[in-house]
Amino acid sequence: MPILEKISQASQARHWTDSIPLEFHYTAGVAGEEFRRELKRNGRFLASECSKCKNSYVPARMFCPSCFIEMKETRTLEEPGYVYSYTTVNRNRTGEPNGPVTLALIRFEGVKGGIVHKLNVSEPSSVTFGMKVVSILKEASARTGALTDILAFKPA
Amino acid sequence: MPFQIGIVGVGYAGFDSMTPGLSTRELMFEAATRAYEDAGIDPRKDVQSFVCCTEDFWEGISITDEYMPDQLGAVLRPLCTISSDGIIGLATACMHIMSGIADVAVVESHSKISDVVNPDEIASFAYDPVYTHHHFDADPRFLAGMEMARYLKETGTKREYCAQVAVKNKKNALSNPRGVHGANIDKGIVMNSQVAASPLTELESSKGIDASIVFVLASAQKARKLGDHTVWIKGIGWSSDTPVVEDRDLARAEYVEQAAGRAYKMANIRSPASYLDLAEVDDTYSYKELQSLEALKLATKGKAGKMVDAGAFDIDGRLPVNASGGSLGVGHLLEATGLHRTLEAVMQLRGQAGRLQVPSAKRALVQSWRGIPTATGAVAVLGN
Repeated sequence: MPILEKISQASQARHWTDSIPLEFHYTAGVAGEEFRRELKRNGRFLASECSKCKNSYVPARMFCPSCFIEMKETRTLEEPGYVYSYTTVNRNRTGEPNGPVTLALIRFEGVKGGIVHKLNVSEPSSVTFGMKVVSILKEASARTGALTDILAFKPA
Repeated sequence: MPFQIGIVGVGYAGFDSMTPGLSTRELMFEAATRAYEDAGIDPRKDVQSFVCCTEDFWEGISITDEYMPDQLGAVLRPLCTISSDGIIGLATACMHIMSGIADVAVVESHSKISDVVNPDEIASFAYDPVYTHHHFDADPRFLAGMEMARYLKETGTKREYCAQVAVKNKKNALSNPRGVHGANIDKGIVMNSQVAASPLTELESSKGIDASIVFVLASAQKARKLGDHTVWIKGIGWSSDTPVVEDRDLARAEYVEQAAGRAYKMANIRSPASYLDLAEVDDTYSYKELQSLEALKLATKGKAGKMVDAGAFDIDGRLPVNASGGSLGVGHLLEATGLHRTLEAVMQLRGQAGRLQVPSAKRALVQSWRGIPTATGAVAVLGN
C-alpha cells in the first residue's frame, strides 16, 4: 500500500472547520443597466434584438450568442409570458425543508431566453406547459431594478 | 494516420461516502502511486506533463492548482489545472502528447465532497448571480427538474422509464466493489422516494462520494514499450452550450451531440450503436442517461426510455450502458466523474471488470457532464 501506516481509530480522524467569507459586486453592465431601468420605471421586461439573425433575447444583453455581434436594438415585451418548463422543490438552497415551491422558466412568444421565477399557484398540479402567465411586481416606489422587483409570476 | 493515444496506467483511491482517514492530498498520493505502478513508470523521470481537473469552490481553497504537485510527483515539473471535467483533462493530455510536449502525461481528478459542509450552496452559487440566483431560494436541482419535465414532454417518454434507469444502475453497482450506492429496488420505490425537484426523486439523483482517480497516458510509440494492457483513446470531443440557462433547449443535451460528433469523426465511426460494445454515460440524474443516449445516437429520439425498460441497456442487453452502476449506483465524483466512467470502461476493455465484465468488450464510449447548472460535456471513444 502506498501509505504504510494509516489511521485505524475513528477517534483519530480529525478535521479543521473554516469558512471562506466572500462578497462581490456584480456589475450590471450596459445592457443590464437598460434592463434594470425599464423594469424599475415601467415594470416591463427589455429584450435585445440582433440585427443579423433577427432573434430577440430577454433579459437584454450586449452580444448575440449566435452571431457574436453587438446588439444595439431593444424592445419591451408587452404580451404575457408562458410556462416553458416547471418543477416543484421542497428544500431551499442550504438543504433545509422549505416549500413546496413551484418554479418555472417563463418564456415569451418569439423571444429567446426568459426568466426563472416562482409561480404563484394554489396547486402545483394545476401548472401546464404553455400556460400564460404575468409577473407580480413590487410597487413602483419600492422597485430597484433588480429581478427581486418581480415577486413571482401568476396565471394570466 | 488514425488518432491513437494510449492509456497505460490507472489508479484510484477512496470510493466511499466519506474518507475521514486520509486528507485530499493523501487520497491523491495513493491513487497516483497505484497508477504509476500500473504503468511501470517513475513520475520524477518519465512524465513530461501533469494535468489536474479541479474547481476551487469544491476544494475550499483558492488557486487549488498550486496545491497539486507534491502528491503527484510533479514538483518542478510542467503541471496545469483545468477547471473542468476529467475527460476534458484527458483531452488536454492528448493535446500535450500530440504536440510533442510530452511522451507521457498524467491526468488526475478527485472528489472530497464529504469535506464540503454546504455543497448545495456551492452549486447554487454557480447560477448567474444577477439573473438566476438571487430572487428565489430553492434546491439548486430545480434546473434538473425543469430539464426532466421538458424532456418527458417533448419526447413522450413515460415517467417510469426514468425510474428504470435508477433501478438498473443501482442493481449493477451491487456487483461493483466501488458501488457505494448499489441497491436492489424496484421502480415503485424509486418513484415514491422523496421528491428532489419534481418529477425527479431523490433515488434518481446521484449522491456525492469521495475518490481520487489518476490516469497515465502515452504516445502510441511510448505506449507500446509500456506493458501489454494499453487501452487506446481513438476519438475525443467536448463542447459547452451557453451558460444562460434561460436560453437553452432543456429537452436536449446539445453539448453532448456536438462532443460526440467530434469524437465519432476522429474515430471514424459512422454507426455508433453497432460499433460499440459498452457505454458509460452521464447519469447524474436518471433522465440524463436517456437524454445522453439519444444525443450520443445510441438510441433514436424519444426511444431511449422504452429501450432501457426493455432491457436493451442491461449488462446482458444489446448495448450495456453504465454496467458499472454509473453515478446513481457508484456515486458522483464532481469533476472526477468523467475519469470514473473512463476507469470503469478501461477495466472492461482490459477484461478486469470482475462480475461486471461484458464478454469480449473491445470498444467503449465514455461521456460526462459537468453537472448543474452547466451545459458542458465530453465524449471519448476507447478501444483495446
